[in-house]
Amino acid sequence: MPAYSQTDKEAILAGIDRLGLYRNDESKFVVLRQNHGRLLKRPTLGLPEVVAEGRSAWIGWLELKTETVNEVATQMTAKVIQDVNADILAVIEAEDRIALRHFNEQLLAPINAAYHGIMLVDGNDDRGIDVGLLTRPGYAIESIVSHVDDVQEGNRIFSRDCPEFSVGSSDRANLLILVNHFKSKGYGSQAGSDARRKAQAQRVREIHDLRKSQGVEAIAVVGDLNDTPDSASLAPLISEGSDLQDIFAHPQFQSDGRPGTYGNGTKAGKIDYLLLSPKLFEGVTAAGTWRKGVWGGKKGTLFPHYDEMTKSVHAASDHAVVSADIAL
Amino acid sequence: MDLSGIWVWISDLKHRDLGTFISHYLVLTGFYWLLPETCLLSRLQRANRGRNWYLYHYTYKLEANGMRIASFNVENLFSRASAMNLASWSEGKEILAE
Repeated sequence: MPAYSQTDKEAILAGIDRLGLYRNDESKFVVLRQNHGRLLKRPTLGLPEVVAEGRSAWIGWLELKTETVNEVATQMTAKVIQDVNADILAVIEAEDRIALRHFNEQLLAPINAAYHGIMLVDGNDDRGIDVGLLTRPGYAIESIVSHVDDVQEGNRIFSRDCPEFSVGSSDRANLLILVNHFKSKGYGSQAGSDARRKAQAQRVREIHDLRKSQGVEAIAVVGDLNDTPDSASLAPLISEGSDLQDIFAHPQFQSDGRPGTYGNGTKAGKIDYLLLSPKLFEGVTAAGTWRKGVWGGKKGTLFPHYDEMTKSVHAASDHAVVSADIAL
Repeated sequence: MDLSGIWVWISDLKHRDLGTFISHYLVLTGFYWLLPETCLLSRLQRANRGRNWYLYHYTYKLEANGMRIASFNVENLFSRASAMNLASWSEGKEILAE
């Protein structure tokens, strides 16, 4: 690796100055990481100088600093969460715990909708879209089991993960929540996608059955399962002797007339679930969907949405929220 | 009008610690059983009945021993580079070009 010439060093210092890093490794927009060795020396008195002899003399890089997006769509996401007002909220397609924490502090807190417990374990998706759990005081996450490394025939089963969150409180039995985001239909062959979703459903069923055999009664399998209730992919969870029951089938479920949860809410778009064990299902006092953050139809006129949403890009999500009130 | 709850006549009280006042009043009047830890003040109606006297109507909703659970695909990346998150492109452009 060639050494830095005097010209190189002058160019580095000029760039450092333009990035606002002349006096500090962190500026408004950029962070200079110097992990092994040093690129720069900043004497107390005098100007910074490049001390690395060449590229191989140090390990480091420049990083763009990130911050929470505060656009209409993100504000609508916060508004949906505020209006649903869940004690325990499973979130699908969030990038990481820090981003969720910033979202909580910067968008939920100002509208009095903040959560206390925020947890997300990195999953298998290279895009960084993972599943997490937000909880209010009184619903502490007491333990987490990740299934990110579960394999079948040498391949990781879950597209993201199927974390088990054990949520406890002092006055009720622990609740076990398995949060999922199954393989979508959008990438790869249909047969391949269907097979992978079925493998994911089978593994979730195994986890469910194991916990049930260990005496856990309050189990909820939740999330975006990317298929309909009558699909072969989801049969291990919804039929085939499963005692999990879909919240849409509960007598207290109040339908808004749309059977689906995705897009326009058609039957083919019923892909978001709360699947409850008998103990939880028996305790349901109310349930429904919240669709005001979704843009329905081409003109957004298919069903009511928030006034602030004046075009489709303002939508909080293409997914409605599914919720249930459960008395334990 | 919802006539459930408690109607009380109160003279010119200090409103700053209304919660404490309500608790004390309900205890003194034998309605202490309405004050479990989980009780919520759901609505307060006030009507003026002459100088320095007020009629208060308290209704309570007992909070069920339950919870709300929900699932939401937020389809959202909550973070992006600060240099790309500005009102004007010009400020971040130099940083990104660098």
